[in-house]
Amino acid sequence: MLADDLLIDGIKFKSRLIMGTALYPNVSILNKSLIASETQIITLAIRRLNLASKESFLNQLTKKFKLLPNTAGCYTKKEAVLTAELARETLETNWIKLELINDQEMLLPDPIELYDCCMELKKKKFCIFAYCSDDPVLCKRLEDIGCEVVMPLISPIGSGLGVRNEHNLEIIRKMCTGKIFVDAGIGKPSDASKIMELGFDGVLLNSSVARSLDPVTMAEAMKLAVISGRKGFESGLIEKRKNAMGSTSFSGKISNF
Amino acid sequence: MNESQNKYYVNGKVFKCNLKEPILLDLIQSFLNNNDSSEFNIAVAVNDVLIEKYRWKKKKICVDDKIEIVAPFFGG
Repeated sequence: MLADDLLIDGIKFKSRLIMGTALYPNVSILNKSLIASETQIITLAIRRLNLASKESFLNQLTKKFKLLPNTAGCYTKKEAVLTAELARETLETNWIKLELINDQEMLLPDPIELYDCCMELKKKKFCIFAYCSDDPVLCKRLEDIGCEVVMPLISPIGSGLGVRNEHNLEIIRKMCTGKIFVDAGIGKPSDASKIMELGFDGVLLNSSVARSLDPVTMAEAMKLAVISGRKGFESGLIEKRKNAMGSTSFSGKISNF
Repeated sequence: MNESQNKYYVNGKVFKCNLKEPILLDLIQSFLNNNDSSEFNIAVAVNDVLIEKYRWKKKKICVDDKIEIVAPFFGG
């Protein structure tokens, strides 16, 4: 079988699973979970420096990963652009997971502010991973303006509700030829597998692992689910039928009683 | 120099310090208790504008400036 590497911003990755780093019970479990997931890219936030913390976030990681800073919690273009610039300055990466939310209860992305912000960040030479709603037209427009990865949600952040609108996801995959990851809403490994079977390029998740009873094992389960779904997609799934189609031949059957 | 000239807003809180010169680098060092800033992987904005590290030495700050000192943190 040919190598199925993922190419992002000219860099090859074997893993199609991006892991968040928040909400883990402790740093040791975070590190073990990241290793169990075999992820190569992790997300992180940019926050006001807390001098009470004994060690910096990066010093607490036991393995080196490609870092994907986010703009979590930003409501406006101005706030998101500054956060992206601060992230680039401190991490020396032009990668940014652009999150621009509209409300506190559902944390849904604001598509209008997001699109406008993507245009601004493109001018500033950022490599954008755009977290957005599962609107096929919006996904296509974000791809067309040069977002490196378009990342529609499947349900609200941290809800664990899984795929709510599979048809939209199918249309997104059909309309967008670039890299599409799903971000937000994954609750269980089968959600991740389902998304990969639909032909998505990868999955970003956090809560479903970090908030599980056993994050390390769940991280491994998610890794296997992503691999399983991808292999299924690559192998060519059979078409669905309304009627049965027997797999065992009737030919040579002993008799009809 | 009176006390009000040394008042800045750092990370949303009033921060008072006695700086010989109102230079951003000195304020950062004062805020970090003279620890090495490279240990913290910080980035800094003054009045909502990013100030790159190479500019800290020359960037003059004013009383009541709003300064954000940020660092990477756990996030999803």
